[in-house]
Amino acid sequence: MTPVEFDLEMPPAVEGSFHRADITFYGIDHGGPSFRVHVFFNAPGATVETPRTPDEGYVGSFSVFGHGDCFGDEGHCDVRDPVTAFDRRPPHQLVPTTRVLVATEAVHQYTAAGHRSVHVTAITEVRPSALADADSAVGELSVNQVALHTYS
Amino acid sequence: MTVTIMPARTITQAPLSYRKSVDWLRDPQLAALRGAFTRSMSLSDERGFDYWAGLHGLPLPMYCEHHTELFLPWHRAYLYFFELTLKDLDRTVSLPWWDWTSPLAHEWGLPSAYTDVGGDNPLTGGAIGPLARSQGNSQRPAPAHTFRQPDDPWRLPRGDSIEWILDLGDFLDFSQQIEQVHDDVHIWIGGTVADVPYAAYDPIFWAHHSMIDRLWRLWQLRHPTAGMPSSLLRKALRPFPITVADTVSTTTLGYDYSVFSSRTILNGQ
Repeated sequence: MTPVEFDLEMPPAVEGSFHRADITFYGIDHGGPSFRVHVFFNAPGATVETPRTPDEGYVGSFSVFGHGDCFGDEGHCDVRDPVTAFDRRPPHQLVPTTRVLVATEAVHQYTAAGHRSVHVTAITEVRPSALADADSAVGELSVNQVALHTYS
Repeated sequence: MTVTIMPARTITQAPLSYRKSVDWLRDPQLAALRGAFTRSMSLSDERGFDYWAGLHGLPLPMYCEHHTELFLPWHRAYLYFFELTLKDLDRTVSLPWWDWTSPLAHEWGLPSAYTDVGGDNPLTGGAIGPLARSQGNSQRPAPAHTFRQPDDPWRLPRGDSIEWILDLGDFLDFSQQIEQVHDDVHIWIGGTVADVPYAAYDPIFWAHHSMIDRLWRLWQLRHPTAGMPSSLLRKALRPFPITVADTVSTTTLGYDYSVFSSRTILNGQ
């Protein structure tokens, strides 16, 4: 499975400027099988086998409990928008989701070391289930945007 | 010497039921739980396990709320109404919680109460009903029975990874982070528990979600004034006949959490 890779700007190295740093993944598709995502900094060759330690650039992981598949008729899993301003139906179940990976320690470490940006590698791992096996071609992580937010 | 036994005070208020740690269930409590699950699994109508498991996933519609602000309230309502159906079968039964942060879990993984295969233990898994299976037959054949493929026990969430989440002061922040832990454990158990459409057909689902609900309760105790956004409170939790506001207090729903509970009944109360 192809990892998702991108660069992310780091905050300035001002001591005490934040006590929490979140890497927020917006617009994650969760319509398929469940999966884990492992996030690394500055480790472009990382794979699912790479040790998950700070020395290897490991930042953290998150999981997504996936919808599994589309079990309805054609169009059942197409995310619909409200059809009128008076549409009181709840949002479609497959509205893309957000995951917040709290990465305070790693962001502190990389900013303190002078990195103004990092290369992020996000690797998807699928465990066996009734709807998937480890080699399932569920596609790479589908995500709209990723942001780093720090909080003082 | 004369021993005088004082009569117990008449209970005028219905006592709460306590959801207990599965690791601390005494033999009669575990037997009652297994008995209630066995009977529930034998019912094919809306009182039975198959119906309630199906509300979460298949058959359609899949009502469960994941990745939304309703994640915690919806699952609290779900457990509450399913637990009532178990109490219809045995008033003494409550859903136990599985503490996957415990040393026992980190050594052995799944709790033995849910893995012991002796005596037709209903907690080892459940059948997936024909309607759910017929809808699930898409790219892969739908399983007739649940199965698990647990990961290494040491990969389960650790207590210290929960503590900081319990310290978060904002409901939506807490909900988002605890849902990620919830997802971790679903995927850790693997098999059909990692699949939204089939997860609730496995009895371990209910023990896992009792743990999640308990953590919300612990968070509420730690942040008694935190509350949740008022815009959420009036939202309906379909298909249940209640709103988010009705789920805020566990004691209003008649239950709370303990590690261990015993009770002595005097004067038939």
